[in-house]
Amino acid sequence: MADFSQESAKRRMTYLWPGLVLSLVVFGVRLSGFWLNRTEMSPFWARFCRYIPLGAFTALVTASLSRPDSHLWAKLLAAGAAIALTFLTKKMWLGMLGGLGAFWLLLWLVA
Amino acid sequence: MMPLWLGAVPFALVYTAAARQAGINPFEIQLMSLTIFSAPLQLSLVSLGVAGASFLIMLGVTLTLTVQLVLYGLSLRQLIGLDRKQRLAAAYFLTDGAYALTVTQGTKASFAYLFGAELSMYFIWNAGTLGGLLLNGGLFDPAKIGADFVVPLTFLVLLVPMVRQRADWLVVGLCALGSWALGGLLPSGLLVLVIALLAGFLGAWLTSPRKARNAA
Repeated sequence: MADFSQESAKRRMTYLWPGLVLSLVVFGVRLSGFWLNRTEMSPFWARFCRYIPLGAFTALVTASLSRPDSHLWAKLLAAGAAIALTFLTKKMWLGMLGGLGAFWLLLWLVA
Repeated sequence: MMPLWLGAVPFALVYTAAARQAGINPFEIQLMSLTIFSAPLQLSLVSLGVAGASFLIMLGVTLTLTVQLVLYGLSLRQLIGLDRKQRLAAAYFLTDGAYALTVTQGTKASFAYLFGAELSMYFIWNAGTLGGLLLNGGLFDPAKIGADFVVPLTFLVLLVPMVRQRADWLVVGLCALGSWALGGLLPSGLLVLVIALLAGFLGAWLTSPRKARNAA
């Protein structure tokens, strides 16, 4: 049944306007990196940009795998398997499948 | 892309369940996915809303969780030539996953590839949100099926081929130590920004021609 009470309307308003304003903030953040002038970069800054993804990916992986978790041991072993498979075969999809497969296998073995 | 899609759906279901429990109406739940398009930020905003946080706190959290996107835009601009309309379009849908997939293309990276990756993630995230709403936001724990492992695993297999020389190993090793040390102290977006900056400066210094000549 529709709720047209003032309390309900106030709760609805609480999320709508902050959400829309914050979505503009997020778009501004996303745009700012693209909008910097594309001047010719010095060799130092060109090498700097090359290492940004290495740092970002490392941070994303490490932060995720260092949180306390009952399955952390399985994730670490599976991550090792994924690294080895990707490095040896040079095929990322094999690394993904191998890592996920190893993780589920380990969970099943201890279940 | 498929691993990232598979990783996104469970989190979309978690987001809709949390948002429904918080009393947010379905229209706003979907609108947040359409306009903010960030799983960690949307989940954080729901939690902050429930806790009665002020708008200023929400704004601070928004900036710390998304600040790494500035570096992604800068990095992509060096990789791909983008006109004004392409920059606007690419910026709206930019995520960690789309960035990761595009930079691994190297010289083959293009606006078409970037935008395709971004749009596919946008579609999956919003379809997952809608699916969660239609399922009435039933409680779902991604950890139970290992879905929370898919995203870090994807970034890991993308990282391996990028590590090609000794300097790269050193940068990754030091960044991993830094992430582990700072992980509990910094919000995720700020952590990624700090570590990415560390990697940039360290890698640029280690691979400078002067350093290479001294080493020879």
